[in-house]
Amino acid sequence: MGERVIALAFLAGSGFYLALSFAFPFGSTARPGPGYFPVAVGVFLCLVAAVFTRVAFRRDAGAGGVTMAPTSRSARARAGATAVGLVGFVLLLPWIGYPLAAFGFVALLLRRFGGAGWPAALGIAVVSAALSYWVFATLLSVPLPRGVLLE
Amino acid sequence: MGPFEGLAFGFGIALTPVNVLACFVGVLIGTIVGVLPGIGPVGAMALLLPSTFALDPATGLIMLAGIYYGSMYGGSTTSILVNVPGEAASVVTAIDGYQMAKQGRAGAALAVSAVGSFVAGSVGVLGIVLLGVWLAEQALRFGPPEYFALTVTGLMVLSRLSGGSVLQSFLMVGIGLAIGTVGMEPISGFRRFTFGSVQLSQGIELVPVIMGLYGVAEILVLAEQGMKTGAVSKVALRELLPTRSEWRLSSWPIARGSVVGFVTGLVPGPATVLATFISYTLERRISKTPERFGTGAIEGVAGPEAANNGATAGAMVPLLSLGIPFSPATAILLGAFVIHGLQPGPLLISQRPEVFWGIVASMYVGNLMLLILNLPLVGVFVSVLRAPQHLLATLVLLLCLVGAYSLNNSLLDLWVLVGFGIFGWVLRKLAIDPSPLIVALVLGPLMEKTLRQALFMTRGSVLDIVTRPLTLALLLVGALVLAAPPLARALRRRTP
Repeated sequence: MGERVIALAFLAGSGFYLALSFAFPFGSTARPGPGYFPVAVGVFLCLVAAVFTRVAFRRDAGAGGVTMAPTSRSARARAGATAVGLVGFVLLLPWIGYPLAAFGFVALLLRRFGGAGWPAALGIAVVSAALSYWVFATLLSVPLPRGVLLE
Repeated sequence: MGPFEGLAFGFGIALTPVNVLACFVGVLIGTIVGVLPGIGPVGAMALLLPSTFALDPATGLIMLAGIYYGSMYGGSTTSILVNVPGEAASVVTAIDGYQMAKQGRAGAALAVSAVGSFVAGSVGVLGIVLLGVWLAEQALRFGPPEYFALTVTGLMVLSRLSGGSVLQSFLMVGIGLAIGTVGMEPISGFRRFTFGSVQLSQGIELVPVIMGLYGVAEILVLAEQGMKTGAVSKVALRELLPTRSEWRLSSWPIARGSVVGFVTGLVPGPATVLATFISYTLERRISKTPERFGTGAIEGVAGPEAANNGATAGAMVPLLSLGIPFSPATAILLGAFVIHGLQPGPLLISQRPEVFWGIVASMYVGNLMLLILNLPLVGVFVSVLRAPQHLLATLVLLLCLVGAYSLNNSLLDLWVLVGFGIFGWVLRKLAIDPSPLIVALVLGPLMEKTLRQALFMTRGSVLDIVTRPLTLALLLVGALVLAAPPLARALRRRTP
């Protein structure tokens, strides 16, 4: 089921891309405009995505068939939690700044991955946040966000 | 400047203290990355790319190239000692290498692997000097139609040779080409798919895409599988020397593997992986005792290990001489060139000889460092495997995040990183290889520019483009590579 949904998503995305491409000036074959190449890519993508979707809906997955590796719910939950952690980091970064965001990210992920109690996770989080801030912000002069709440 | 004068000039550049240090850092990181399953050389190169901003162009590129071929050494260490290939290119080494380790011959396998890699690296440097310079001279005659045909053929060959089906590769190529159209169009500056965003006008950066697809996605897969710390056995230093018989059995496979690897590296696709399989198959075919393969035949280690290092050198030829990367690793190197305001290709040798020759010579220096480092320090490198995986994974993710942000101080790059990380995880679930997407993302703008220039030149006549001799030859090669397997299957069905 999952692979059919993904195939349909590819098809929908390709169609959306092609539709947007038609809005750009196409020009002519002798003088191609900015829309020429995107339309060509969009047509190619839609054709390939259509065949891909057809293959995904086939009953038996032979050569070129699409199958998804099966995993348990808890396994997917671990990956999902990691992805949520990443999204949360990016969302919170402009507000709480890099040091706090890095601290929270490392501490929560260490706990989520397992293998570290809270004291170890918090200790490692402090060190890694501080060290990475020093390397990138101080040594390499990258203007890491300090956060709206801290400025 | 002739090829060998150039190489001598290159050694003068490569042997400066700062470049020797950069090479050392690169090969050390590459070896560690190769030892660790998970983060591969592409992810590591992408992570370190921002840190090369402050360096001289030659120095930064020397370091990044060091990571690329250094990882081949590291990958073979874990293949032999614990039957866990650190790199896809070391999978074949595990077949006989691990069997040798079980028989108490791990040291011999490691030594032959290191020497074979060094010989192949040296042969590869010679190949770059001879073929690369010649190819760059020929490429000065290439016009837009030839470059367009080269990019199309490269993507066709890559689609056939990448893991998975051609359909899946075509899908990845299409997505990569589409992403490459985001931003300001290269000829007129027209904004496409930017939705009014100033940041999107700059286009989608390559580095966060690669970090996401190869780094973040890998960590998501590890999180799903559960983090485990490896158990590693020790290797006694005194066991490192192969016997005279083992050297005799290894020498021709090393020579053949070097050539096979270099030639395979010239071809678009997962060159290092392909080279090892081709070499292993070749050695087993021509061996008088093929039944020994799979039980600890040293030829099964020597040939593939030489081949994967030869392939890293071969892969540098299209990048340096034509300015066209045919793999994600060389795509990162192209990104490094661009960041430093350089354009690899036929003019690089004449306009920036210190960069071209410095990189080429540093590959020899780096291979020598790896030969000296890898054998005595094999225990140290392998102990990296004992590091808790959950700690490594967390820190790598943090590095990916801060590294992606440091490119342009832009939240967009972070969203690209996270988005492609999740997308890369989905591709892993579908067993789809993302490398065609990366190569298409890099080649797409060049493909568009050369296509439009070619159409301007011929006043819109596609026939005039495809009937130019070299263009036609290249497109036919690509079509043949795509069509060969199904045609062969159809012919086999017809013949009784």
